[in-house]
Amino acid sequence: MRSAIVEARDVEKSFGAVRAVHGFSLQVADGEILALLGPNGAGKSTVVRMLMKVILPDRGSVVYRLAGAEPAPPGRAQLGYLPEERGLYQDVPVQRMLVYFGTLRGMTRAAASRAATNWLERLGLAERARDPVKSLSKGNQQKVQFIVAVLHGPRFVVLDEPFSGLDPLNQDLFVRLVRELRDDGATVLFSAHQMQLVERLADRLILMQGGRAVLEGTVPALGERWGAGSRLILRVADARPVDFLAAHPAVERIESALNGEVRLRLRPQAPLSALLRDAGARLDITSLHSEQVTLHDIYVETVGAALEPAAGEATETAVEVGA
Amino acid sequence: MSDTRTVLEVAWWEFRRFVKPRQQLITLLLTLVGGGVGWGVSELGKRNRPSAEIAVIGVEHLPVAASPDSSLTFVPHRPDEELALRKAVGRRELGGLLLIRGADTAELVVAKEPTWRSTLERALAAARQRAKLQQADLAPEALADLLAPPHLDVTFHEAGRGPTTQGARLVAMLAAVFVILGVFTGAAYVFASVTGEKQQRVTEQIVSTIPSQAWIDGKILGLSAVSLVSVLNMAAAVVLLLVGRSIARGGGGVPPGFGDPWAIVLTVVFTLLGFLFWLSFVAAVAATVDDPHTSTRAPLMFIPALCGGPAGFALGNPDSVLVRVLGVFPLTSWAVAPVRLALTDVQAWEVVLAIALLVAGIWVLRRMAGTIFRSAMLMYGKEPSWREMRRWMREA
Repeated sequence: MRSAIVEARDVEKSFGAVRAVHGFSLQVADGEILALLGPNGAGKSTVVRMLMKVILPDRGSVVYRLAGAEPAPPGRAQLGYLPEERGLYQDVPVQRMLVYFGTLRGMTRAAASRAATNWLERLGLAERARDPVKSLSKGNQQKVQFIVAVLHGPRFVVLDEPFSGLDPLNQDLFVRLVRELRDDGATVLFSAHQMQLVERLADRLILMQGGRAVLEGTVPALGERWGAGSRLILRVADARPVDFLAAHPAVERIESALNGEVRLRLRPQAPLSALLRDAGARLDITSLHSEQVTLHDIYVETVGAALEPAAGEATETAVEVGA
Repeated sequence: MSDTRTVLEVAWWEFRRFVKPRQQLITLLLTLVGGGVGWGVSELGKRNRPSAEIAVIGVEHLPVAASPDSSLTFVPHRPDEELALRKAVGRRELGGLLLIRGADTAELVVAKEPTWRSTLERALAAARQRAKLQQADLAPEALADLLAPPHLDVTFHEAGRGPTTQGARLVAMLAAVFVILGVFTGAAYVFASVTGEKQQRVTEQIVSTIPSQAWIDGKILGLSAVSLVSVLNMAAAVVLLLVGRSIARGGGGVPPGFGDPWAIVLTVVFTLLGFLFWLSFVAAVAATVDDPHTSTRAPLMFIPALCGGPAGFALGNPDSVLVRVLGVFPLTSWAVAPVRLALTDVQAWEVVLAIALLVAGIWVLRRMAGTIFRSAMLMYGKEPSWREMRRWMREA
């Protein structure tokens, strides 16, 4: 792993009686795209706000090393932030507002104006530069909000739920833009709950649940650690027991066996021929297909287990009984 | 980027958001037109004062006479005309019928309560006084001497000082009106700016970018400048109107009382400091407001008005001990001191102390406002309690 430019150490934050984040740590490596993934209320935005010094942690610390190996407070030009709470001056022309935010980040007016013009052209908004923000569509306002975060060429960009409210085309656009930012030397941390976008974009992810990190790593590494590999789905014509499959060396576990459909989680690199032969000998298989385990599966299983451990246990028990 | 540059950037942003040249020009023109129309109506009113003809029966008992500038005309009649005159009053052909029965008794017959009643009563009182003095059998010279006012020569200790002129009173009144109006205008801008930013959800973006103290300082500075421009705009309109009126009356242009440049400079200083003081207060209050339509904090906005009120006392008695104290006390000095400067001698130490206390008050208030602003601006859906605000200040 490259050197960490941002580090949160064991941070905690409570709001009244609600413990939003506890015992959370992260390291953001220079030049990576790190995703904070988690359901609503997992504590992602609270972590982001603490990283951006919008709120201070009750315990723990956030350390920046943007200017060298030694910890130092970040300069405002080094940070870019797209808050979850979108907000723009609605009655002000787009270009003027962008220049204002650029100057607050330390740019001269001339440099901010040039950068704003470039970004507006890049995002197809050049002709709207003199229009008041309120005249733009929601999607275009989100593009402007994105420009506010990156106008000044920050070293570390934090995007809180950048894809929310975007149509698929604009989601693709934002994925491309974030990759370009990384290619230009920026480090990006973003929070999201759209798994396929995280899978496409993130070099590494941290899955949060209940204010804690419950899973961390690169997408392939997580897949491997999770059991990776694939899933085999069999359609069977009769109601014969399938529990013998659980003992098969190629099968990690039976995920479900309901309504003539048996879903098997396979062990990594498991040889399938013996499994298919044994299953075919004892079951009347009408169709079969396989699929890769996705981040969605990891997310649902991890978060589901953390959210409802009792329900999770009950499901597994039901499978065993059914099997 | 230094905080000073940030403050100036924010100030310039706020100034440009709220000062629109076309609007200022329209305000100037409307003030001129409104003032011109008001003055014209007042002049017309003076020239066409409604006069009343009053028929008098029994003038031999009390020789009532109207003063030269009075709107009343007294016309003597015979007693046998009373009935006809009463009917004329009923038909509104006569303003009234005055039946004088003796030096001490009279009856006034009118169709409705007359607006000139007090004028008539003064005329009757004067006539009665003359009648009583004549009954005392005084010589005309003695009578004239008795009624003449004493002659009073006023000598000023300092050469060059003259009596308090009408112009000086006008300047004092305008100073008070403009400084209070400026604080109100600024308060309205601050309230609109802060609650607008909360409602447009831009606060998190800005708080993550610049120190909240720099944000509030820039906001207060910029909006104080906006208030100053508004006040100067109105002041320019008033000066133009006064000059126009003076020229129309054959005067020399600028009315007297606008002469002391030092007092004008100090008035501008107190005005600006007053803006900074109260706009800091209003910014802190506005930051705690979640919804301006339903907030219970709105009555706090009247505190500046209460503190501007003593300017009225100062107009009446600029040298009383109370007014002198209020002229130094930072909650009121911004409004009282300009009035005293226009009307009376203000000691140098009073001016220095008032400015020092006001500056210290601004420093304390802006720090408190910055602390409240920092936390309150990020609160949505509820307003912070007084206890929470006290805790923020303690923690700060």
